[in-house]
Amino acid sequence: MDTAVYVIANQVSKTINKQHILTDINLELKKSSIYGFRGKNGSGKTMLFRALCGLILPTEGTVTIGGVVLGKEASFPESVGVLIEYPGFLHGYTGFKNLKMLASLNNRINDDQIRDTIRLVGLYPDDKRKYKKYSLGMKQRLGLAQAIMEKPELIILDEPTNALDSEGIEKLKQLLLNLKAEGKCILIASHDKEELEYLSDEIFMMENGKIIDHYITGTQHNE
Amino acid sequence: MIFNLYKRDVAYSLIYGKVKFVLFFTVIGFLAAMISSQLKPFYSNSAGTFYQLLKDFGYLEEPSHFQLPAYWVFIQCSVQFLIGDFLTHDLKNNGRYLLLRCRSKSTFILAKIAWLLTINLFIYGGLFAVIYLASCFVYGDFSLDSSPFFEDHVATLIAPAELVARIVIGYLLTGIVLSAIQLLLLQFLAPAITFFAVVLLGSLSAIVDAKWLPGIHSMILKQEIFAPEQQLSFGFSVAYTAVSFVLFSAVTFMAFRKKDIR
Repeated sequence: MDTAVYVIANQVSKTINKQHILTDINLELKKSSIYGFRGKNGSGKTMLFRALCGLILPTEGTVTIGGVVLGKEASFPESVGVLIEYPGFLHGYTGFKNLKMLASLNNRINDDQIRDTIRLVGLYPDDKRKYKKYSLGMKQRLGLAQAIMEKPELIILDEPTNALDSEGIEKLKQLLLNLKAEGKCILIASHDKEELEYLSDEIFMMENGKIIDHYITGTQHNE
Repeated sequence: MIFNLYKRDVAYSLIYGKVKFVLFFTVIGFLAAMISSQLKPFYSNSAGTFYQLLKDFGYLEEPSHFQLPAYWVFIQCSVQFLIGDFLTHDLKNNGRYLLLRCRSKSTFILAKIAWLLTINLFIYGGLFAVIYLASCFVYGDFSLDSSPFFEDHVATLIAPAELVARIVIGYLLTGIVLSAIQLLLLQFLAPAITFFAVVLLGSLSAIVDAKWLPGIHSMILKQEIFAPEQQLSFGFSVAYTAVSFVLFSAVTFMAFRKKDIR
């Protein structure tokens, strides 16, 4: 199993309008691992995720993904899938057509691979219902599908269990453990301590833009 | 990649905004049919409808003579709303997902700039088609030749078809500049403030006659063919638009490259 360090945040700080959004964040995250991030609303989890995928540039410090320094050697990571708030899927399109539209940008995957991903998240690829008819849980699953469909090395999920029922949560857990076994580096932010501890190898606690604590969960079921 | 993004922007914007586009073109079609009905007894044809619907009130010589060119303001505001609505929605909801796939802010924003030109062409092409078809339906005449109404009420020597082309292209030029300004302002300001700033800037030409404002280039009665002493030529309007579009797009390009995507 490949457990090389894939994500490095080195003394990352971000200041916006003189407010310290992130302060002195240091991380070394490995492949084939799941990392949990916990903290209250506004603690900086989502901002940290944005910094780790290059959407915001740190005021100080560097983010390195797969050996490439973001903002210097590349603007964005080579291979990343994210779910940060719902994507703006077209209400008049089916789930499949929405994903196809996104996948058409890179043309890395074909229709069959899109269908497989839809099945993986517990939806039906040939479902003729339009997105506007989807329940919140189905929308969340489709959001997850777009994050993983192109098989990214780094997967960043902000509150992935939002709106999912218990069956959906179980399916998501199994999916993430399978992705971990495939060597992916997975970052999850969640309020749900139990779910996070079940899935994660290591958990980071955030408050006021700082990592105030972290601990290894000792979870063995997913090794 | 840039072509894929551009194709996606065009397809997404048309599907996302289809109800609003249909509503806009329906209102325009209704206005064109209504004006055509009013002009029919005066032996007008479609050229007369284009002129009557899209014209302004010319240079303001006495403040007390001010008349608001209501249709002109309505069209400018509606078009900027259609464009701004998509830009705001797409940048807010899809920006991060598209950027992480194309991995280049430059590619992303260049596709948006190309989209701006395309959507303006689509809207004003549609505007022309809807007015033409609605008015032809009322008149039962598909010509854009001269008519008794045109000869009596439109004080110009140029052919009706050329006048129609100049009016519609003038609207297109103003639309291009205003939407480029809107894309630029969206990098710094909230969408609602941006929209009102652009509408205000565009509408300013109803009371201020400066050639350097974008709105005046869609005001046919302020052009040289109707007001030779003011020397606002069609060539100047085209050059103004080209330079402004390149300038505003270049600043947008540089601003977006440095901007955080939240």
